[in-house]
Amino acid sequence: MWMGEYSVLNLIGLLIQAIFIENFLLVNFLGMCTYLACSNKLKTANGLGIAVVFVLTVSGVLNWFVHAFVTGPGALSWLSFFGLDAAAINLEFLQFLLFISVIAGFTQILEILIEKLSPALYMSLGLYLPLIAVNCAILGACLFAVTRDYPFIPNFIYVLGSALGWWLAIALIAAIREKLATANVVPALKGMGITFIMSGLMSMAFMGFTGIKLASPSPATGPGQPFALMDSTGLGQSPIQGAPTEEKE
Amino acid sequence: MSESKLRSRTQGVSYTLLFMVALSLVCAIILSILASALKEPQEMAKELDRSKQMLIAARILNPYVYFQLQDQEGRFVPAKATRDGILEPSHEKHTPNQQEILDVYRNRIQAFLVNDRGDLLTFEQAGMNEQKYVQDFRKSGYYREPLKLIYKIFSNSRGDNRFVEGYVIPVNGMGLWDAIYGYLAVQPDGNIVIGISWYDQKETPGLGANIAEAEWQSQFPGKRLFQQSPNGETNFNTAPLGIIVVKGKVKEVLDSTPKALSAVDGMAGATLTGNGVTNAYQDVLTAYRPFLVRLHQEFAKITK
Amino acid sequence: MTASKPPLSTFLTSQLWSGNQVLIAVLGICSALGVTNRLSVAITMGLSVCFVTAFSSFFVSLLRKITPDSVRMITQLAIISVFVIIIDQFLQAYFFSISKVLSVFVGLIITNCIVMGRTEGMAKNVEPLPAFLDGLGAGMGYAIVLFIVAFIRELFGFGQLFGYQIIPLSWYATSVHPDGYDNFVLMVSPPAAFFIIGGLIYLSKKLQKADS
Repeated sequence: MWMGEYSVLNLIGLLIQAIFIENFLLVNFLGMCTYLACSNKLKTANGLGIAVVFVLTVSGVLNWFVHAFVTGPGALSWLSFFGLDAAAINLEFLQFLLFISVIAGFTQILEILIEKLSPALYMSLGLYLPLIAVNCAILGACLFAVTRDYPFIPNFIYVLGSALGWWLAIALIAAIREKLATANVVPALKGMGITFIMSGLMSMAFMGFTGIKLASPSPATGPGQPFALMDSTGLGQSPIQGAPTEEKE
Repeated sequence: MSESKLRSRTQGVSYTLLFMVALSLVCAIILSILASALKEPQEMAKELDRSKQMLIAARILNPYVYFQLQDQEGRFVPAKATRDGILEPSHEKHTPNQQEILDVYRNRIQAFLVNDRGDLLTFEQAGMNEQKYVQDFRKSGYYREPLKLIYKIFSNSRGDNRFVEGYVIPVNGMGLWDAIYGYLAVQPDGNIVIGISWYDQKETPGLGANIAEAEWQSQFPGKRLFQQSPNGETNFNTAPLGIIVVKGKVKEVLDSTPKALSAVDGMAGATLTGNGVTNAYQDVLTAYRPFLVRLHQEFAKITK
Repeated sequence: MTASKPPLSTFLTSQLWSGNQVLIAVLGICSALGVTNRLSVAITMGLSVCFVTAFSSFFVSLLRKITPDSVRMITQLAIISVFVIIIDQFLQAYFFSISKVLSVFVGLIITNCIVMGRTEGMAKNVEPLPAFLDGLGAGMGYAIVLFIVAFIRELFGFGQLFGYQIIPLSWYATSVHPDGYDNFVLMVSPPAAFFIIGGLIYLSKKLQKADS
């Protein structure tokens, strides 16, 4: 339950996978709204990114507990401690509600804490926190982690990696947007239009990471395989799906 | 006047708490009622989906969702279901409703367990609960268990005339992005494929996700699980087991070598998904090897 | 009731074009990128968002006078979650194959900025019925954009619409005539959705400028 069949090597692979290969923003496209609508400077992007890393990691962990002890299949078996046989009760339908409540609740508590403990930090970070509660990426990462049924530590690594990847992508886009602001863009494309096209190009670039497997992301391929590197050294064996191959179809 | 009084009353802590408790209660009640009301249709939808996929693998259901029967010449003709789950030929392609699909499924497919020696057991004989077993090991793979899940396909006949038309093996593997789940139906000789399906995959749409498309799947019927050696014979104890998804077209890569009988065309731009499929068949079928070998031996005895 | 109160229908119609949530306010992007591969999926998503936005706006507006300020956001989130769960359960029961494809994206409707935007921006300030129409209009505007994007993507990426082959199979390249038509596979990948939406934003800006 805590570590499952994952070795430390698997965890490192999982981290890299979550940051680059399955980057939350550029591959799964979650978390764009709040960012697109409110900022185009690198500084704000960094602020958002750090806040997301913090909120997502903690919420991801909290939601793992919710899934393990409340909403997952057979989760209520711990109630047998109190003499109640509740293992058959399925509360899966409450999952969305509980997850978003945990996220919103945690964000609220965090905001209050930051305001009390460090007004300086609050000035730079605290403004983003309400926005982050409704960031698709946070709920999305929690839901993805739950569908994959990770044990505790891989779950932690996964949400941490997803958040770091999101921050990376946001920072990259913000940096380019800063430059675009002074570029000579067609008037009707200025602002959102060109940002979209630019994001599309970036996501194509990140597609280049496809197929690199550094860890079995699930125990399905067996605990004895810490590395499953794809051998892409043959002619025309590019791991990029859709890349031209040597053979004519 | 009353509005400002209402406003000030709503700002108090006790009111806030009361409000939240009431709101949570109402939400929970609404959702619980809904969930229990919809539970049965949901279970049925899941069972229907699984049944459909298995029937498609067994070629009882056509991928375009109408029943089919094999006629005397071995061609497939459209069919429709009668009341007790038996099929009879019909002239048009008739789309069956949920209940008909489930009836035919329950009539013709039955779950069993197979052990490492190739013995077939019913769930009762093994002392296991079918529902629980099917649910528990779906993700980790039935082929990893000491008692592996397998389904018998019964023929389209009544009572004493029923014989086993084939077997369905649940297949687990890893595609490019996530796990893939499917079925492989094999003839009673344990070697020739009846059909396949992939019912759960998260591969790239348009590329790897083609494994779920009827067109790609239509290559499988007739392929051999046990690879034939160059001299035309098959050593069932040592031959490689499984279907290979080649890179490119089988015709160009393997021509008419015996290996081609156990290979299918790859999908352009989806080599890794194809590799995942190849590995899935290899890993899963290896676990069922004793059973398949035994099937073949018994079949050879009968047909001698 | 003053004479300058706008007719109810404008709540609906303003959301469809001049205030279109996706193209003008640039909200609700996440799901627009992830689910517009196929028309059937996109329409299901569009209709689900319509349902959720309309009804959550309605109920948020209904409760607006008795909701304490400090828990305003979480109340809105709770109401939205309830409707999303309703849709999710419903899809799982009656549209199982589509719900398999949508999987987590249905849950992500909760964090869909359009829904929160309408409840926070409009619903808590107006009567229930205008709020309902506003939510409905926002959802419809979103659904229309999704429809257009999915139409383009499915047609050029698969050659199909709603699963039916539109581009004749005889046009396709085979080993016999390798210069035939081939599906524009990039359309199936998410970057294409970015480009198409960027293009639509460009078009809508141009058209709206021409209008005014």
